Amino acid sequence: MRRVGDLSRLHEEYFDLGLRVVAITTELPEEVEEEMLRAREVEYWIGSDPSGRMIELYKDDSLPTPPGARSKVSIPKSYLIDGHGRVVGDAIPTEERIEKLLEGRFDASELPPLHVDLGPARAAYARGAFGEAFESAQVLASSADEALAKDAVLLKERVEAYAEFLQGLAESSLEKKRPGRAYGLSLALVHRFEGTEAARAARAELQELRADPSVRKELDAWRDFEAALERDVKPAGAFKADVIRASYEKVARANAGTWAAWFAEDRAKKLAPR
Amino acid sequence: MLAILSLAASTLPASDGWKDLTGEPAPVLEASRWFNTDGTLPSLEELRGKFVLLEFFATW
Repeated sequence: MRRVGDLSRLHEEYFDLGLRVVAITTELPEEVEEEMLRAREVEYWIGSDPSGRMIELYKDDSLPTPPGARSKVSIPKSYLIDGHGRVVGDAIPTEERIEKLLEGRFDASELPPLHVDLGPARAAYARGAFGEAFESAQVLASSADEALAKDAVLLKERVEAYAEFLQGLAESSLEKKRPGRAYGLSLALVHRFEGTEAARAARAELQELRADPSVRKELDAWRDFEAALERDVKPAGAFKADVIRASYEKVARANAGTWAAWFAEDRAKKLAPR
Repeated sequence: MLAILSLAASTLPASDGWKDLTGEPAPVLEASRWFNTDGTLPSLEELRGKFVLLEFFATW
């Protein structure tokens, strides 16, 4: 049962990062229990719904059904539901897709309306300067204005949650023997999430990864990336997106095939004019 | 004639019998008994903000 293995792996690997696998069957609890004992490796959550009510809710009733026959659904069938309870897919997602979706929860567009005084912090968040957003939210979190303090705490916690998410991705990359990617994520944490606990941990992680000889090509690529950050990106500031983008694109071209290139390309795409 | 028939058949939407809910709110999750949890589904509060991969399955 390859599917059981795939689902178990997704549930376990992405549990801490925010995914739950929930499986529904119309079989009786005793049957499920027996099957689980046999299969063993089932890690996700299983619901027994002999009434078939769940299927009724998800079944397409508009389809023509031969008279006297019950309409049929093909099994297995998956739905992917996002953090707002909205359906975003109807297949088991690839790791790449689920990681992208999970990270999307931290997009600036997902931030709720915030107190007007948090405008600069919010803008910093939106351009990816999470450390800066964190720092200014931290200052405002002790404001005497309660509404402001509350929103500041919310923003601060969002930055921390994002940093922890990336830290989790870095850890899982290491487990999957992708030290280059772990290095890139740790680097992103150090550069863009200054002040958070996860950034401190990432700094230590970088030291360890640099000592690993198996990741030389990747590390060279990241060094290139870091150099571009210092040389072009930081001095350019927030309003020179085209300069920053060109710099990232150059890094991507020169280091094709590495995670650093993928990361640089991703950044460049986000800066592309719409 | 055969060509016309098969053309007509191909215009019918291919369907697996399930609703296409992409972009829609997902209907509730419920079951009479849950496994691999403490017997119930963790509260909706716990699931808020989480992604859920819902799988309909059968062992037969």
